Amino acid sequence: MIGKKRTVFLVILLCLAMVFSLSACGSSGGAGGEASDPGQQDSQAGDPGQEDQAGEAAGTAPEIKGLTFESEVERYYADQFNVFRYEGGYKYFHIVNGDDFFLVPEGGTVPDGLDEKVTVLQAPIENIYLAATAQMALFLSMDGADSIRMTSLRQDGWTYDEPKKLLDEGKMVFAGKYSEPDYELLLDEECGLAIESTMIYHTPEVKEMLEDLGIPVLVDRSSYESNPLGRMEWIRFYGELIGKEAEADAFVEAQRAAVDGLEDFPNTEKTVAFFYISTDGKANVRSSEDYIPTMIEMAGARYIFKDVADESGRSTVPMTIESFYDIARDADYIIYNAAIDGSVTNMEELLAKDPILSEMKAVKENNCWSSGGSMYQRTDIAGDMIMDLHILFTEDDPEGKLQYITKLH
Amino acid sequence: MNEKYFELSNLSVGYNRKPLIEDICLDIKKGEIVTLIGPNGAGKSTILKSIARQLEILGGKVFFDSKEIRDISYKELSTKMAVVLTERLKTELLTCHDIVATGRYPYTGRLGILSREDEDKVDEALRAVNALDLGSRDFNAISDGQKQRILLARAICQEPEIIILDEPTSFLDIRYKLELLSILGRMAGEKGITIIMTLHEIDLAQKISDKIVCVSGDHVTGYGTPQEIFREDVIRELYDIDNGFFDPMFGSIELMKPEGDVPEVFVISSGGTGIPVYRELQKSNTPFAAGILYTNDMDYQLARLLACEVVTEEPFEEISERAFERAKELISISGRVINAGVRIGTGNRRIKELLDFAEALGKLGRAEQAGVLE
Amino acid sequence: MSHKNIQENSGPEGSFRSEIFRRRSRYITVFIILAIAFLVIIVVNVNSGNVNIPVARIFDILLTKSGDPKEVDIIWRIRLPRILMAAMLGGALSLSGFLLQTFFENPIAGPFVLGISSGAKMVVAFTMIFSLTLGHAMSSYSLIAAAFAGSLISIGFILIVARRVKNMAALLVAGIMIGYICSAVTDLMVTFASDSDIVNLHGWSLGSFSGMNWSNVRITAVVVGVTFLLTFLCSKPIGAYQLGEAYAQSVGVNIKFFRIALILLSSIFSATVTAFAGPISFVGIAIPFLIKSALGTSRPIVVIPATFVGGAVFCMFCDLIARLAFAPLELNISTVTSIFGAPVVIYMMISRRRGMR
Repeated sequence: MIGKKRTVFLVILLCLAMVFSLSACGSSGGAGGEASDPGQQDSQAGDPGQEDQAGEAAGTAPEIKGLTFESEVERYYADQFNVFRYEGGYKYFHIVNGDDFFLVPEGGTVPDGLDEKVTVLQAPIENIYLAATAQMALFLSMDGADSIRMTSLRQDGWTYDEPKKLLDEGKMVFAGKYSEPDYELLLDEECGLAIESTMIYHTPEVKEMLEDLGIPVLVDRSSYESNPLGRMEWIRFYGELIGKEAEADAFVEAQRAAVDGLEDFPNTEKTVAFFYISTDGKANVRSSEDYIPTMIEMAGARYIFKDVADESGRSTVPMTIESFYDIARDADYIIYNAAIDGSVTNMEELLAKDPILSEMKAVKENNCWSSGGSMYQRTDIAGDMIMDLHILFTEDDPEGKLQYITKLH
Repeated sequence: MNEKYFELSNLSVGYNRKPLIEDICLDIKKGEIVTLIGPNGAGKSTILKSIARQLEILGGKVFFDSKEIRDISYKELSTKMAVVLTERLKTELLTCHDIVATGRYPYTGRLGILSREDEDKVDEALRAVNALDLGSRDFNAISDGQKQRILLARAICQEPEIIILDEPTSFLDIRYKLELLSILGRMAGEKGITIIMTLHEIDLAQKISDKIVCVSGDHVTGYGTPQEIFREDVIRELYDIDNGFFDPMFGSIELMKPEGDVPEVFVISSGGTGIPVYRELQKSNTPFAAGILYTNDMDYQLARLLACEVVTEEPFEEISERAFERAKELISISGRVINAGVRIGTGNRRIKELLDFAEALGKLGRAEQAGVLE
Repeated sequence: MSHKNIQENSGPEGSFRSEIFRRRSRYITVFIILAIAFLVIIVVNVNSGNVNIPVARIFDILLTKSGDPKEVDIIWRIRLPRILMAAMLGGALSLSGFLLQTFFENPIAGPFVLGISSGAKMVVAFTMIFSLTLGHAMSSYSLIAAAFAGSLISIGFILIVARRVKNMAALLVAGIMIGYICSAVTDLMVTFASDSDIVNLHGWSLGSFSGMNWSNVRITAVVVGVTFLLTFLCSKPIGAYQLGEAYAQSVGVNIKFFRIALILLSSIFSATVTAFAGPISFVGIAIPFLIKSALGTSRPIVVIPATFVGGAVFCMFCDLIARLAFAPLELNISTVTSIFGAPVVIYMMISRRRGMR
């Protein structure tokens, strides 16, 4: 009896050892499909707006056997991607600290000697599952909505009309959020590409499952752009992917024209506090290098939270109301981030957040505004946003002229 | 043969390495019924648990059939020794059959599947404890007395050579106490199973055991046959009794005698008629004297414990002058005299004189008249 | 069979054999019902999903593995692995609960009462927060290994305590303490983490069967299969144990070893479930109770297989509901198991108190 029990014990230990070794193998090899490594060592995922570890864009086009390099796609503001065009319509896409993709044109053949890690895509790319919601605006702006079939937000999750309409008309369907996509629907709709935000790194099993099912995954890293217009310029990247290069180009030029005038504009030196107050009573401000403060600077004012940064690279930094008040009490403008906290629609609701707010200069001078969800979702209108901010800072009575910012009464 | 069967040699037992009882030396023969008695908390259960290997032995050795018990594997031991313990079982949806069937475990295969033979033995065991009708009932749904019998059946079903029981009669009423003990007696007598148990009811222990072990303090204070052990002084010392008596002759227990050296009542009786009167007087704490009693009269057995004075006479003799005079003296002292129903024959005809004497003093009454015994 | 033969088989009236005979027919009935439920629920599961595939084609695909590649993929790569995982993990969870209930002699002991899920969550949170900072990308196996490692840490502590402590209540307290400590550590880590890192932690701790692939199925089949076999082989000592440790020891069970074996087997089951699907509540308490009531006995040799199948059926059913109730949004599996399991547990506690009065 004792001997038998010992044997039982040993068998159990053996099982445990087996599982461990299997899982160790799994994490290095990745069962059922290579987990597309984000590549380099210091990749760091976070919510959009991450600053550190942005990295450098590639210098030269990779050598591909049998293909002649033609040109590289021009970039004014962005530096986190490269697109190299080759003869015959072949294109090589490189995402800094991300994955590489190679687009084979319709009727073309896959060249030999391509690096294993490069994902091959076959044009035309159809039935895209777009789980990086900020990029929807880009596709819409270049008339590329046809390529998108599935989205990760329901109708009521969108803050502007166009996607809502497309969902309503059935031209797009909701296929589950990024962490729980409806795999069956994706297969049924013959999804050609899944475009994910960096949040997918937190649910690696979803990425693996998609690749397992034969759906290539492209992780958008436009949030690593330091220049807000750089984020907008990713429209070129996607334009090259779905064959809307010309439309993308035109859009970028238009935005550029709008913003160009601001380059030499002397800063008004007015100070702006951009924040929201969370339920635990902390004031959450953007870190100083984030794209929103950059937009404020470009629009001609100063973001009052200088040198606020988070060691772990978060884009939003919580601080106590005391520290907040200490820095921001003399700010000329308050812009409340209503994208995160939509509960503030008038002055009363703002002041209800914390009594100390009524002591702030901007409140006393009735200079309080709020920005809506578009700030986040509308990556396309970065230029327009900057213009809006510019109007806010320079005009005496800007209220009627603003598209994306509302005054709090 | 004189081979030792079950021997405890300088055994030390206790909890947490602290010895409770030390130097236990017992030599138990096959088929004997051995009962451990002693005050609460003395360590009787500790000894049993140690023998049954539920508790670690702190010192000394236990020999079973010349083999040290430590060297016997649990499995082998389970075919030789079975237990009935005081712990309440918390079972769920198990019938009595199931409970008894666990006794077959040492004999069944890997998965514990019972053979036909095993099933029959279960029935047999139930029959032995007169619980055949309880077989299909849920164990939780029966009374404590019935449960105890089922547990005994379980032990019997294990076909052991020794059964160890820890206070098996504690929860039982008189009927089941008797039943259980008679079953144990049968097991020992008919099947030669050695019984080692603890009992609180020393009167029962006296009647059923072959050997008695007295446990108190930190060692075994006595080990012998019931005749040797069950003497009033031994029991008194063992249990430290100061508020009553244990009468080993009948194995009965008596409460304290009434306080007082001077009798208030004089009871005249014979052949058992005095016993109820003594009890009543004891209950009302009335000191009394009794006489004239022959020392082979059963009244005497109780009177000597409860009365403050007894006037006795040798059996088969006529009543002597000494006894007669003393009785008269006591009648004079007492306030009342009760004739409990004495039978006057040729030998004790002088009792009549006592009765007349009492009557002349106006003290005589029958038990009922005197307000004793309504 | 002649009347005499029946008598011989079923034994004289009131005898053990006759009782066994009666019980056997009840067991057979229950097992048949379970088997039917099992098959039905598998068929229903394979048949349902957001994409409609007619039943005839399903059988074709299952048998020949050919057909419209889209549909073959859906059935073979999405639905089947998920169904099989739900079945195996459901069975594992129920048995884990059964083993702990035997050990604690209390029917309310659940598979996570010893703090396993808290330990797993702690290491999972650690992995989610720090793996990316340390420069290693997470693969799905990182999380599985993390959950398993966390479970093993908890199990390790419990085993150390179990070897020294004889008292059940003390062991239970130790398990609860481990749970609290791990939760506290987890909360500490969460305070310093960015929202995006731990946004999925809460979802993880409610459990999900989505995204299972065949390699998951293979590993689970081996681990759960072996552990099930070992558990079944322990039917005899478990049966003895049901009378309490003292009696079990007296019939020859090596108690010291056996206690550890019980805890270990139960923990492997629940660690496996936690690793692949996250902690799932109520299954481990509700199912053993239902099965024992249905069979009318708690004898392990029938309860163990029946509990496994019962758990498999229940989990597959709950997974069905989780998938379809608000499609395409998926409910977390614990939500559904709680809805169905909690009333059972409440009923169980009430009827116990009535019984005890």
